[in-house]
Amino acid sequence: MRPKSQAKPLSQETSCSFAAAPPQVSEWRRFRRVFLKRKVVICGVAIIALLVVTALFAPLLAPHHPDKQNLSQALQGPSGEHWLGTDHLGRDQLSRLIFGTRIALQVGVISVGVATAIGITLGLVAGYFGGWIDHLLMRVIDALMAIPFLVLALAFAAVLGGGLVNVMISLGLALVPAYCRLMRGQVLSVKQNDYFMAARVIGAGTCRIMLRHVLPNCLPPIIVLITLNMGIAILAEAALSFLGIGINPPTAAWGAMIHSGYRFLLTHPLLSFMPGLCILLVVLSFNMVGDGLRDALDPRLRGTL
Amino acid sequence: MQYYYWLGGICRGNLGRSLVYKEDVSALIGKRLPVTVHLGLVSLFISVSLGITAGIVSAVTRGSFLDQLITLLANVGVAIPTFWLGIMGIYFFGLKLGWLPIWGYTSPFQNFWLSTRQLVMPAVCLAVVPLAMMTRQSRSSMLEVIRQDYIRTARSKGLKERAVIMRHALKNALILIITLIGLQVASLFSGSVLVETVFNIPGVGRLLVNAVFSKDFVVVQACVLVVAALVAVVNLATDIAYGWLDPRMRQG
Repeated sequence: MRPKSQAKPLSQETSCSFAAAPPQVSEWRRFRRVFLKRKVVICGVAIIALLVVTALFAPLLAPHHPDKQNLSQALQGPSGEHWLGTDHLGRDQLSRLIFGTRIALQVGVISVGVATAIGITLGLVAGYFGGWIDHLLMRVIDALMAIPFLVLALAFAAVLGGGLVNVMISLGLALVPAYCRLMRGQVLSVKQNDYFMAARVIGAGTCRIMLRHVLPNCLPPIIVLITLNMGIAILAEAALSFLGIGINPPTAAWGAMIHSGYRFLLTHPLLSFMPGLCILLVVLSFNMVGDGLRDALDPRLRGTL
Repeated sequence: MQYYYWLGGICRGNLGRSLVYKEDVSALIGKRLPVTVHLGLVSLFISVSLGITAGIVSAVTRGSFLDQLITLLANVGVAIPTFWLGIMGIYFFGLKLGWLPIWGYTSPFQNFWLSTRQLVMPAVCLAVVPLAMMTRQSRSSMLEVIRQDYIRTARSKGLKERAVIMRHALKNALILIITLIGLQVASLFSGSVLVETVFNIPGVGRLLVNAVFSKDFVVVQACVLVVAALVAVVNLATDIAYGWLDPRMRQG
């Protein structure tokens, strides 16, 4: 799905305006200036910050317990007691939305973390050593890339089963190909540089070159991809939960809330409207921040996307 | 060894028997694939035609209010949950206004009018994400082309702006855009899984979801295989089209 199209312009970039070692002050300042120039990026950062704070302090912010049922108050409209009304089991909708931020953030961070860890390692190995390892890995990745992201995630989820942990692993695995490809391309371009040759000439070991010289210089586009994929992972988790294959019912996940609100659409549209709006806002913010990062890290793409 | 037999079967066009439907999987998929392809083609048409237009308008009027509006809408479109959009569509156009039927699928050969009415909402919902991606990408490839020297040459020899854009810029930008269509097909399949579930359309996406539910692994792997094969074929086709449109690529 999206990672493929996003990865394309990124993998073309060869320059690393960000030096390996600690970025100089002026570089950092330039980065910050470009990054924060656009208002949408600032909005995105603000919304993500709000998301993190909400997730951390969910028990304090939520007016009710998210899973506490009260059937006598089921399917109520918005009121002073329940700001966004209650669902079919009498659970407070606002509290469930607030606790849903935890799931969304958790899924985003962990699944993208899994994908990054596996993808970077494989890409580094493939790009660094080349030869048959590279050929083998890349053919497998090519085959996986032909499968649409959500279909691939569904297939992994079918094998692993539902539940929060399995969904995170499924999404993580489905995102691996994009990272592996991007990382390999980066490694190949870093290998062309003089400092790479210099490191080999002075006799640095394979591990040392890989971790100290190659890896840091490959990171900028990876960071952009991570940010963009956070949104994609959250969106895909909501989709899986909506289909009923993701996170199991009692947990307050946004996708699952849309699913259960769907049955009461005619009388209580708010039940499925609000979680969707939350997903939209969060995903939009991650995309905006990702775009801002790309502009700041790769000057050649500035303003074109 | 089991995998070996399965692979051998595929070469002979046999995808195995469904554990749940007790039917040949190839027959199951054969019945549903035309539905998904119909839906997908309509969505592809919407997203490509509107996406390229919006992208070009936005690139040509770069920095204007219109450009900002299109960019904003495209960004929202990429982030929108497809299934949620479908549900909201059902609520407003199906339940509240009563304009469109809220679910089902009819073959256009049986009842064309009903089929079209049923298809409007799913196709539009499915088109939104590829449309937004298409807009962003065609905007950026158009901007890329406008920066080239030959555009400056065309302008400096006194051509009208319209001719510069339509004849020189658009032609070259389209070459870049063609390859993007191949990428959209994968995202259409992802979306069709959701749209077919929301609108209760008997396509491959729904078959896949139901198979995951009933742990019918034969069907799951067959669906994934068929979808991957289709995506690969479309990508191959766009690559060939690319070489055909751009003589520079033929040597490489």
